[in-house]
Amino acid sequence: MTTDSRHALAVGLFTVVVVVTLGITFWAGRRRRGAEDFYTGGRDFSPMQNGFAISGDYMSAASFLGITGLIALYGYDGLLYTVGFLVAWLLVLMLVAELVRNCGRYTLADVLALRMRRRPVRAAAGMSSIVVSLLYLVAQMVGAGSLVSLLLGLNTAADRAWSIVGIGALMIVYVTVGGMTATTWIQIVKCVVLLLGTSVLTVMVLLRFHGDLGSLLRSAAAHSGYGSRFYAPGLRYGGSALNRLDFVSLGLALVLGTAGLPHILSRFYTVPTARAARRSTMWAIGLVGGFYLMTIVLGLGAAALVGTAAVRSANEAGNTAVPMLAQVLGGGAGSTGGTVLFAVISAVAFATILAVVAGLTLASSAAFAHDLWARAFRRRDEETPTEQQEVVVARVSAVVFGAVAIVLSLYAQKLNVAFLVGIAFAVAASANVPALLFNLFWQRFSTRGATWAIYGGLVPALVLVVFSPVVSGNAAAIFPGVDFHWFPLENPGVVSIPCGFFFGWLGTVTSGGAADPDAYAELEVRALTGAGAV
Amino acid sequence: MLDADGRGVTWGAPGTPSSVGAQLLRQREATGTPPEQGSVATAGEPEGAGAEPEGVFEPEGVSELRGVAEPEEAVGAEVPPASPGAALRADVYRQVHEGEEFRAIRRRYRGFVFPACAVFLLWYLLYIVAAVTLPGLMARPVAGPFNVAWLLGLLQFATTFLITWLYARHARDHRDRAALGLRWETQDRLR
Repeated sequence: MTTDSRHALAVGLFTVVVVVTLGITFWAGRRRRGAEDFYTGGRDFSPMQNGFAISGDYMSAASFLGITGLIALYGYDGLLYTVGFLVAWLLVLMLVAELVRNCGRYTLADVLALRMRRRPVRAAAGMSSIVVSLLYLVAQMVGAGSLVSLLLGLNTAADRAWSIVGIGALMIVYVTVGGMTATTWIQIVKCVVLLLGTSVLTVMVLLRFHGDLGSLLRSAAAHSGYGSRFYAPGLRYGGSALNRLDFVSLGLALVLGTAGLPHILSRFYTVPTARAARRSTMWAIGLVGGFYLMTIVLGLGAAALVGTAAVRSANEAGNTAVPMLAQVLGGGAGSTGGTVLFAVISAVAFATILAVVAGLTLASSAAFAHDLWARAFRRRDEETPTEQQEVVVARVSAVVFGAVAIVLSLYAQKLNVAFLVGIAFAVAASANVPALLFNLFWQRFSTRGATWAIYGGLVPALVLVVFSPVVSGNAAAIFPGVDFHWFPLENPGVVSIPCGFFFGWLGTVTSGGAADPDAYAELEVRALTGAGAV
Repeated sequence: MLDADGRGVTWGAPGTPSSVGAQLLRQREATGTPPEQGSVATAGEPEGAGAEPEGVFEPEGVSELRGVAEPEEAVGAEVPPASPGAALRADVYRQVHEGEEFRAIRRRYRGFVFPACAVFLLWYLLYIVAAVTLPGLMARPVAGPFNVAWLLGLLQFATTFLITWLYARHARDHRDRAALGLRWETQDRLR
């Protein structure tokens, strides 16, 4: 097949993905109208469905493209990411999922507002939710840009920009028309397709090496150009002490951040009970764990069969390692098998990106409409808007956040997707997690403590990123021409996460009045028994 | 009723929003209950209180019917409950909270998750710190090209699955039934 037919096939499959997802969207949007439906899909999903949807939300382009790329480029150091992403779910499972399901309604801020003064905590939690979701959105859209341009043979900057705009437009349609119902079904379908695609590739890689993982690893090391250093940690995060500290920072952010991701938390509201939330988390852990084990094989396979140098030359950050691996497995460039497998895997990745951006846009628009516009931005004597008005605002804000994410993504295209996600996790871990955990487990925790915890984690995290080497000071930075960086680490977690906990504690102990013990009693009884849960 | 998942159990079903809202409004007007305390929406409700969303959340349609803003200072020691309903509701939750039944549930929950979280976080931190500070140890071969680093990484996967399974079993055997019973009972008393 020629290059033209390869692109024609990819375009055809992309069209199928778009048509199927739009079909789901309009089917879902036709049925339901209220706020409950828009934000939670009617709370009627089964644990298994929600488990697939959670995995669909979590197994993003960053995981599929970014992590396999990192493993192909850096060997063992890429695997460190997968461990952090998976282990993080234990925190969600044990401390967050059930309690949040029992205490909240639509958003993270609901859980705080249960026992705090509502306006300040809603303003703080709504704001930080939007920031986290936007950062995560940018990460996904950067992946989308590089992927689509590779797949469709679009090489100019203008083409890449247009593909990002197109994906942004699609996600806006999913969210505004279909709400949570459509988003959830798109994620379920995407999760199944992604797992199938990953499994097929994994089996093919293993067959190539006759099921011998040792020879796969040896071959990967041989073709990586690093030799035995490929087996051990240190290629990406070795060297200076600062570089190593950067990795510890990332590791902390990954393990704590998941519990603070707004789009993951809001998934627990789509099931009827806390027990269903627990069981969906268990499904998610199983699916996500299996998926990451397969990405390790794919990353090694890409190093062994494509070669690290080739992966790097196609995309400096390694984001296109998987489609390239698919092409080689199918028979190589130019062969029919290679072309077909390349196009199929690309379409899977495309579906992955679409599903995740839809979930993120929904989370940020819920935070804006439900927390900020309808509640935090109201004077005390002002009327709370109706649910219908709230949903209209949520739909409009989905359009706005989609547009903002598109613009931001155009500036961040050189960064590795998994690495960008690491920053989003750091912000979530610094701003949302301390407030959430203190709120659930510390009786004295006060309104001031909650707002200080959120701003005290959010502001340091963002400031440190702005003045980090990611934004300025080197050739790979967002603004390569200037240098205003003074913070040496790329990931702010190791500083900003303790900041969030510290300010939460400080705000609480310096509050005038003690927190209301009755309010905490109610929260605790509700959290652990489900009494009064929506 | 012992459907442990809570599905198909009548108290979990949301009420019909608009009728509940209208009913609340009528009742408030009749009893003179000040509408400012949104968080007491259900206390004193003669019927179906357990069947509607409670707490800070108002049933759909209530806010537009009431025409008042969400209470800003609904909780906090300095703000006394503004209505008998709120006091009653706080009483119920306080009593349940102090009851032996609830304490047992909380003890079992915390008794498992706090140590389990401490263990997995510590084990994970040891792993990542070892990965960056002990390259010699991590590179020591175990089997073929696989070294200590790979062994530890795969063990992280294994322990994650193991702890998930242990937690689910513990919750199912020691917590779910008691929690469901207490939920029922609390909602009953809140009517």
